Amino acid sequence: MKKIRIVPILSILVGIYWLFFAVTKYGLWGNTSPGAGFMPAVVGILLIVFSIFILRTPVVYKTGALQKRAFYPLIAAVLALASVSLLGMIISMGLFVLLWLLILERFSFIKSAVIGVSATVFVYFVFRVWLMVPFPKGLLGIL
Amino acid sequence: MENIQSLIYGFHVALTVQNLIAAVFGGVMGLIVGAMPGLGSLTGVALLLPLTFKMEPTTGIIMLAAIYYANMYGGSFSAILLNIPGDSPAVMTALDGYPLSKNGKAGKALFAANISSFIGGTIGIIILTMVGPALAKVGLAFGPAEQAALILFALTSIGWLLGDAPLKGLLTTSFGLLLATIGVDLQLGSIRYTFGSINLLSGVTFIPLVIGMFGFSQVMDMMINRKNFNEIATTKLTIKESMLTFSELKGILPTIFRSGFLGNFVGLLPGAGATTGSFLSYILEKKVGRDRANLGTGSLSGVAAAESANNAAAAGAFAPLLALGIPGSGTAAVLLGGLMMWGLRPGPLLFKEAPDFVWGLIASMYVGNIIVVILALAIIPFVVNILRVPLSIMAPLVAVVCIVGSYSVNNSMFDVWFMIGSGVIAYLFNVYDYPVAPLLLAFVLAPRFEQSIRQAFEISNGSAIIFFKSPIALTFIILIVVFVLSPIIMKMFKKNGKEA
Repeated sequence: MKKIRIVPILSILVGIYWLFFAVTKYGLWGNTSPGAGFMPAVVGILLIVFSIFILRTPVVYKTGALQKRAFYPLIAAVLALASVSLLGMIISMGLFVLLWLLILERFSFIKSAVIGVSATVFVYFVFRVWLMVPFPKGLLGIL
Repeated sequence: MENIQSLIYGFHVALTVQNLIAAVFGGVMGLIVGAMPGLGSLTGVALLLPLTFKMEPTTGIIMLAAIYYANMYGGSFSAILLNIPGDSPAVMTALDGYPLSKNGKAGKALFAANISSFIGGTIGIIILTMVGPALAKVGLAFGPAEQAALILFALTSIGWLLGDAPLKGLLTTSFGLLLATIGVDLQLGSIRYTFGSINLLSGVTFIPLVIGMFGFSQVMDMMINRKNFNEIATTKLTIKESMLTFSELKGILPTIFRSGFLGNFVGLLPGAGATTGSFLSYILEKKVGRDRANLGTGSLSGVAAAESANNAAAAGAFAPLLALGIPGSGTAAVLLGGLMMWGLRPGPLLFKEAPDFVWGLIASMYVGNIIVVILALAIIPFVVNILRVPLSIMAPLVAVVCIVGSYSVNNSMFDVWFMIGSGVIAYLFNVYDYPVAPLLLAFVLAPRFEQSIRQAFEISNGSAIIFFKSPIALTFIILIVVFVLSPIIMKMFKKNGKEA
C-alpha cells in the first residue's frame, strides 16, 4: 500500500499559519488570562506535532482510492448553486434533480421530470410555505 | 411530598382539552422540525413563538416545550435513515444508527432511539419534579474552572473515537479545535482567521458542517459504493422486525439509565445543552458500557446512549430556566423570552407565584412525552420505507436536502458552500481513513473550553491554582491524569511482562 503524505503535509502548513498569526497578531497572554492567540497557538502546535508523527511513523495505513465519479455530485451541486442567482433556489433544486436523473442515471425524461417536480413541490411547501425559509428568488423572481 | 401534591395539581391543568391539543400539536411539529436537517429545536420554537402570543401562558409554554423535547425524537429519524443528523444532538445517534440501517436494522435502531428518548426524557422530568430547583443550584456550582476541567476531561477521552489509526484521529481532533477558533473572539473582540469574510465573523456554523460531513460526503460515496447502499434499498422491513426483542431491550436499559442521569445533569449546566450531553454520555458508554467494543459500528447501545441523554438534557434545561431564570441552551433562551413576553418572571419565586404555570408545564411534559413516543413509534413502519427508495433517486434527493437544510440554518448561501466544502473534505478524510467524528466532538467542546479557561484565569488573577482549589475541578484533573497515563503504564507493564 502506498503511503499518502498529502494530508499531514497540508496540516503542517495550516498549523504553521495558525501558529504564526496566533503569536504575532492575536497574542498568547492578556493581563490575567490567555489571549486571543492562546488556543490557536495550541492548535497550531498540535497540528504540526501530530502531522510529523504521521509522516515519521513506519505504519502504512489502509486507504482507498479517489474515483472521478465520486466528484459528480460536487460538480452538479456547484452548477445548481451557480444557477440560484438566476433561477432562484427552488427552481434550481428541481432542475438539479431532473438533470441528475437524466444525465447521471439515464432515466427517461418523463420519470426524471416527475421526480424533479415532486422534489420542487416538497421543498416549496415544506420549507418555503410552512417553515417560511426565505430562499433566494433569483433574477427571474419565481417562487 | 409537597412536590407530588403540586404535580397532581399540575395534571389537572395539563389534562384540559386545550392543553392536550397544544401538547399534541407541539409534539407533531417537533417531530417534523427535528427530522428536517438544518431546522433544530431553536428554529422550531422561534418559528412558533408568535403563535403563542394570544394563548394562555400555560398553553403556550406547553406547546413550545413539546416542540423542544419532540425535536430530540425527530432528530434521530434522519440521522438513522439518511446519516444526516436532523439537529446537532443527533450527531452521535448517526454514528451507530446509520450503520444499523446499513445492516438492515433501521427499524430496531429507530425503536431503540424512541424508547431511549422516552425513558431518558422521563428520567429528566422526574428529576425536574423532585429536585429540579435544588439541582439547578448545584449546576451553578460548576463555575468556569470546573467546566474547563470537565471539558478537558471529555477532550482527553476522545481516544475511543480514533479508530485503528490514533494519530490520524488526533489530527482530525486538532482540525475540530482549529475550526472552533475561527470568528470573533467574544471575550476580547479580536477577529481571528476570517480571511476577510463577514460570513465567518460569527464563526463556523455547526449544522452545515455536520450536514456536509455526514450527508454530502455520503452522496459522494453513493456514486461509487453502490453495492452497499443497494442492499439497504432492497431490504423490506416488517413491523415485527422493527421491534426490539426483550433481551435487546434489557441489554440497553443500563445504558439508557446511565445516559439519562448524565444527560440530565449536563442539561442543568448553563450553556452546555443537549449536544454536549449526548457527546459525554456516548463517551461514558464507550468507557463503561457492556457493548463498548462495538460502539461506532452499529450498536443499539450507542443509539440509546445518545438519545436518552439528549432528551434528559432537554428536560434538565428547564430546571435552571424555571428556578433561576438561566437558560441552559439556545432553545431555553427563546423559551425564557416567551416567559417574559407572557409577563412571568422566572426565578425562585416562580414556583410560588405561578404554580399553575410551572406545575402545569411539568405535568404536561409527562403527558407530552407519552404522546410523542406513541406518535414516533407509530410512524416507524412508514418512515423506514424511505430506505426502499432506489439509490439512483435517493442520491440527488439527499443532496437537495443537504443544500436546502444547510441554507435554512442562517438563510445564507455561504453556509451551503461551506457545507459542500465540508462534504468534500470529509469524503477525502474517509478515503484516506481519517475519522471525522473526533473533529465534530472537538469543535463542539472547544469554544466552551476556551471561554471557561479564560474566565477561570480572570477570576484567579492569572493563577492556575484555581483548578486545584476546587474539589470538582481537582477530581476531573486527577481523572484526566489517570486516563492519560493508564494506557502508557499498562503498555509498559505488558512490555516488561513479555521481556520477562
